[in-house]
Amino acid sequence: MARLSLVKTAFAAAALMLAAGSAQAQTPSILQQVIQRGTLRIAVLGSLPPYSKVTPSGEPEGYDIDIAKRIAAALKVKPEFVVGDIPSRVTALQTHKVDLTIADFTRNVERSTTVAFTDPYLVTVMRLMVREDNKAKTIAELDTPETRIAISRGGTAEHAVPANLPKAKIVRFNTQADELNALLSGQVDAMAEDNFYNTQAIKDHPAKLKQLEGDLARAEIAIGLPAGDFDWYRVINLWVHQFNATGDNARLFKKWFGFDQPTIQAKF
Amino acid sequence: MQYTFALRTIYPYLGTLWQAALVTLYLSLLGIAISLVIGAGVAVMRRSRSMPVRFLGAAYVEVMRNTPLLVILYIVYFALPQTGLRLSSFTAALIGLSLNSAGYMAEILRAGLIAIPHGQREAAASQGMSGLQAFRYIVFPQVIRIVYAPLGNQFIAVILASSLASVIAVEDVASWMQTIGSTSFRFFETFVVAAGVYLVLCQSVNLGRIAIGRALFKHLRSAR
Repeated sequence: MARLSLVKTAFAAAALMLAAGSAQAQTPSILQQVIQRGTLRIAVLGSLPPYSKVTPSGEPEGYDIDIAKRIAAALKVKPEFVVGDIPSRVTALQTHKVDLTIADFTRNVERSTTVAFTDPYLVTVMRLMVREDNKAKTIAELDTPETRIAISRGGTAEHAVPANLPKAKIVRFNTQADELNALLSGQVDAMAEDNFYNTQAIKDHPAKLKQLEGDLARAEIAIGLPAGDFDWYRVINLWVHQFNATGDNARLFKKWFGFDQPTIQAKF
Repeated sequence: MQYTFALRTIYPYLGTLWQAALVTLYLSLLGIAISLVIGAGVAVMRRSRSMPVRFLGAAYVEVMRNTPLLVILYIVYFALPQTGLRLSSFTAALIGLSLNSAGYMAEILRAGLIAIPHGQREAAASQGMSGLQAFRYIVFPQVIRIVYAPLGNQFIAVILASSLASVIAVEDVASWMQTIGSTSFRFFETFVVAAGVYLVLCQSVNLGRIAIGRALFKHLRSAR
């Protein structure tokens, strides 16, 4: 009995520590905080070109980075980038260390129970990328027990790959860069990532990689915000809507990806 | 709004944690055993009369102690296939972990060997013991007793270091933590659970080591 309550106390203490890092009931909305502070803090990923990457001089650049700069400009504040990894792009929002996350964030209901998402600024399709010398033409040809497919831990592919290739073996990595290394070194036969990332990787590694025909899944990429602040959500979501509607998004996409942005509208 | 810590949100994912904990335990115990064997060999090399052999032993220790395990894992898993040698995630992780830990094991065992005064070997020789006999009956039992506690530290270090294996696709406890965290965005909950699992695994191995030590050194305790 004493042991059990000790465990419970430890968990309660952990919960309290987490709570202490977050906002108190009386604090002003994030919108007011950002305007008073004069800076907008944005969590981004360090290595996901062309979405984002850190240049040798230490400056982040990319499609996601330009979006962040435009939001800051619209709010008349300075952008302040917090370069992080897959867990920290989430936990930084939950502990209010950043005001926004713009980091190739796929939205869904389970995830939205802990952070808020705007409307999508991008819709991606997941496809299989293989080495150029792979003889397979279709996704179905790779559905064998010998096929090893690299995916991102906890991402869209966790469901999409078993649904489309039930026999293939899943090999999990923390970053897209590790998946690509595994594919190039022959540790896996294919990797399941979004079409835009794959297209860039094929361009960066001439005559080494190709994509197979057919889609595995559709993902809505959105900006993440701390949950529970409607005023902040209202402003950022309006910005996303107008960014899409004015064609600014399509132009920015073309600048970074080099081809036309596919439609964001879902077909019901 | 403050984050609400809710362990129950990850209950549905606990089923896969059991398998992940077994992978961590299996990888760590094998890593400990293999690195102990390699480490013993290197420790003996460092005490050799031949200079080149001593140099090789010292070079091994310094290379392994001065390169991050993460880099060794990347080399074994991503770079070796370029030379035609493709190892599975688990094998690559086991090799990297064992090679790295062996550097530390060698130093612990060497310290134990140094601690035995040379006079004892001479005394054993004067009693007509061969070199091997002196090692088996005089040196080895004392070395084991001296290094037993420091080895325990290294055992725990191996278990904790095994969490890096997830970067080369091993499905261990750290992999579970990342996978379930990314799926549910409940990273705080998965961090706390993973920390708890590592704590239990390390303490179990440590308590096992202490129990074996009690049995091994029973005669010493009763003599006191």
